[in-house]
Amino acid sequence: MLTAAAAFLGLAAVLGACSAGPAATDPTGSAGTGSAGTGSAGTGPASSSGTGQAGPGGSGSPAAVPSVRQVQVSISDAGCSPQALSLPSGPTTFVVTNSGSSSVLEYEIEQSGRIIGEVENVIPGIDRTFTLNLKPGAYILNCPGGTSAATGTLTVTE
Amino acid sequence: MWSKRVLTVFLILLREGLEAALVVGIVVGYLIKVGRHDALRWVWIGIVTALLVSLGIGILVFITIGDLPSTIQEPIEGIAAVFAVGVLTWMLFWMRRQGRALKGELEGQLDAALRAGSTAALVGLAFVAIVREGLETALFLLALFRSAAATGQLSPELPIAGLAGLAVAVLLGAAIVRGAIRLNLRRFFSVTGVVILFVAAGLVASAIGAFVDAGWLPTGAPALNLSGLLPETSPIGALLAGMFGYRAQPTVLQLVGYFGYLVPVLALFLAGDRLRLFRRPRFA
Repeated sequence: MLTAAAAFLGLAAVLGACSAGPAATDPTGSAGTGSAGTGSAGTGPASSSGTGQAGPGGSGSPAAVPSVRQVQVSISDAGCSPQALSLPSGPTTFVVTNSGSSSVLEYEIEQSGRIIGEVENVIPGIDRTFTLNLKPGAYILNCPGGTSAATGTLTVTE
Repeated sequence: MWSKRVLTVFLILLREGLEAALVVGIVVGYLIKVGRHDALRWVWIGIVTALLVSLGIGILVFITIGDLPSTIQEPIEGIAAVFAVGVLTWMLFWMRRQGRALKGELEGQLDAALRAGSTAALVGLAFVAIVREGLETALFLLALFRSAAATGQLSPELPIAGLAGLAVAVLLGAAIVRGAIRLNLRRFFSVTGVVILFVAAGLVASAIGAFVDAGWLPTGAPALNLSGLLPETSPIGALLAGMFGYRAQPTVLQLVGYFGYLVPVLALFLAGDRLRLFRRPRFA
């Protein structure tokens, strides 16, 4: 077990050294969308991501999908931020940042009572991503353990 | 701020590692106890294979797509939990039968009960227990290592906290094995049986949670909210979550699954146990 851990350490150190991907943010949390107010999140054009975002199906093919939009969202002790999100439809990668909470570590999106995308174990400084092909409609955001914003809304327009 | 983060990382990996450590500890303790060292070797092979598979797929996913989509990860976790519940339940009643058989048999004769099929089940159980959370754990650790290496100066406290969490889980598993070896066989069967019951009931709730996260089951509102009383992210909450599937906000479906498994199986188990209390062990 110890040898496995040691091997792990070595391998991971090599990995860490050679891949400084977009997830390497500063520990203070670089959430662009700090306020929990209403508004659409900054949906910039597909950034040149080093890790190569997966397609909507999340298949293993790392072929670059240029049309995947990245959206920055964050979680805090309050819950989901922004609490009301509005996005156009299409393939979307959610980059979830923890802005300093140790009690809220999950971000989920559900539709009609079923979870369609989520990330767990999001700690400050370690962003996690998931990709969905958003269709127009109303969705619910879920940040379990949050106080005032444990749930939120996502509206997807054409 | 960073110390809170370090504690969070430690607790996440302790939680992820505990369940596997507990299940593997029971399997290893059992095989040592009944003297099946040949089967034990296969279990070790299963454990190492599971670690390598988790790490290998974890690295592959990490460098290609970064994170494993929950639509893939959660079904794996759910199905693995269902398999583990099946084998644990079978192990529970099989051990009780062996406990009963003890009154007239020597310890060594238990060997005969462990046939090829049951060895495979135990090896499969150890393998599945590790792979279930192993992939997510590997991805999480890799992200910690990358963040430690990418901040300019080396800041190893997060990966160290993560490895420490796993190490504590492994130590607890080892303590279970040691404790199991000290108990006499009859006590071992009873004590382990009760532990298995609660672990398996927790796995039923975990499986339901995984299928909900996968989108296979409806979410449903939490039946109760214990986040204020005992959050999953607190040390005790994390310990209970890792060992017995504790959830601070269980859904109705999870509660029904947990007690729907626990109550009838516990009743069956205790009914058999009470019968045995009146028989004195031949050896101890």
